[in-house]
Amino acid sequence: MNKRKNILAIIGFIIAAGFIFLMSPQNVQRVQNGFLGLISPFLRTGSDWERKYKDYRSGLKKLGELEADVGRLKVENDRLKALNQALQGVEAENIRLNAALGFQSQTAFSLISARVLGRNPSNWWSTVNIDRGKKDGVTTEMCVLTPDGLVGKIIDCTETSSTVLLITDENCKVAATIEATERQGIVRVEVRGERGSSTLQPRMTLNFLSKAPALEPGQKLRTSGAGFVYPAGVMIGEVVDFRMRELDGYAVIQPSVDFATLEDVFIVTGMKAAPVAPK
Amino acid sequence: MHFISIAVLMFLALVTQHFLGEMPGLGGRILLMPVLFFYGAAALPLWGMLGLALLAGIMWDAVMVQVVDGRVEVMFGWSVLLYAGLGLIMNGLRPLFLRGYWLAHCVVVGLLTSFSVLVEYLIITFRREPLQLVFTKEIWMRMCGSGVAAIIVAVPVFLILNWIASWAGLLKPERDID
Repeated sequence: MNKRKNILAIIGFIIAAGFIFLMSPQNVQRVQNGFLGLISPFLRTGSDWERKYKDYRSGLKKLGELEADVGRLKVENDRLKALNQALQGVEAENIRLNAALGFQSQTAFSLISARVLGRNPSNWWSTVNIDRGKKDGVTTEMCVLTPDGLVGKIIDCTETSSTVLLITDENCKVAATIEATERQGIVRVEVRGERGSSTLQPRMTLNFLSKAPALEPGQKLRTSGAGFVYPAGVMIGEVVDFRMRELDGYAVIQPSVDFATLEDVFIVTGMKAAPVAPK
Repeated sequence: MHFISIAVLMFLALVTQHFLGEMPGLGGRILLMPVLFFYGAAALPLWGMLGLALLAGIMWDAVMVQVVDGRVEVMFGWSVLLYAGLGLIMNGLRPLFLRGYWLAHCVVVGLLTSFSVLVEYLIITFRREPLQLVFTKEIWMRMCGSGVAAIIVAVPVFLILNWIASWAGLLKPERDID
């Protein structure tokens, strides 16, 4: 009896495995969407508990530490207000110049906020799940960022949650440009030695650069807008090192976003209508 | 009943894994779902192990496999074969498990978990360009870290689940040995 059960189980397993292997990419995505929809309520609940635990732990701080935090945050708030005012001035000038050249100006993005529910439990892939989905207007290929810079893009979404492919994943390639120069390249996580990087902040490289002039550490990197996935002008990181190869040069990039502490992100759903340039 | 309860525990373990970080000091992720699967592979007969391998492989690939730009990078379903193969090894040690000698199985869980991480790494390395097999210290730490974490987690998991299964009459060595 047991032998017959086992034989039937083996035959059933082979048939089921064959059926799974023959699935098209569209069906694979349907299965993934279905499973993501199934686990997202659990991820939300778990994420809520995690936040409550973190809030509880942070609430145990001493009064002196809290006062120091308040002071530091006030200073940071003042700095950000000043920066915001400066950026508004730069934006206005940008609108004026672009209008003068006849180009359509890309100003602020249309953003929706999202919370990171959990990180992909794997050693080799870098994705996170967020709490926004199709019912919030999210679709695949939308860019995800934080005030610090580029996070990644949406590769899968259900009604209530989505999966974000981080720029720290090898599969994510970003067209980038060096600030204040015309040099462009492709940013990706470098294979050599970085696939097994134990940190959540692997070094990335900017490839296909001309050999001269060499880049300086500290130069900022932004998206170039090529490929139409990532809007132009989003901060990616900064140059840490520049190295030569036989045919080209490449820069080692430190991402500007701290992926180890990623909690809240923004999804770019589109561009705001360009305001009329002042006369 | 035993099969369904282990399947549910595997699902909950996969959800819980999203909130666990790396093994402190070693770097490998703490992988809970494989531990539950290997427990099931040791506790259940062959047909149960194959059913769990199917479920585990589908759930794992549903979470891990990336579909980027309409292209599936690593074939969906490869984990089913991996879990089935590793589950067969564990299932072969079932008679020892049913006699109560499960500590050795905890060590085997660690070895098989490390092996599964290695297989994952090899598959994505061969799939992606350039073709480079790089085994840095960090990669070894990732593999070993996951294995060590699995052993540490397996001991209380096996202890608790064995106790519950024995109390519920789900593990009867004399009747269950094939």
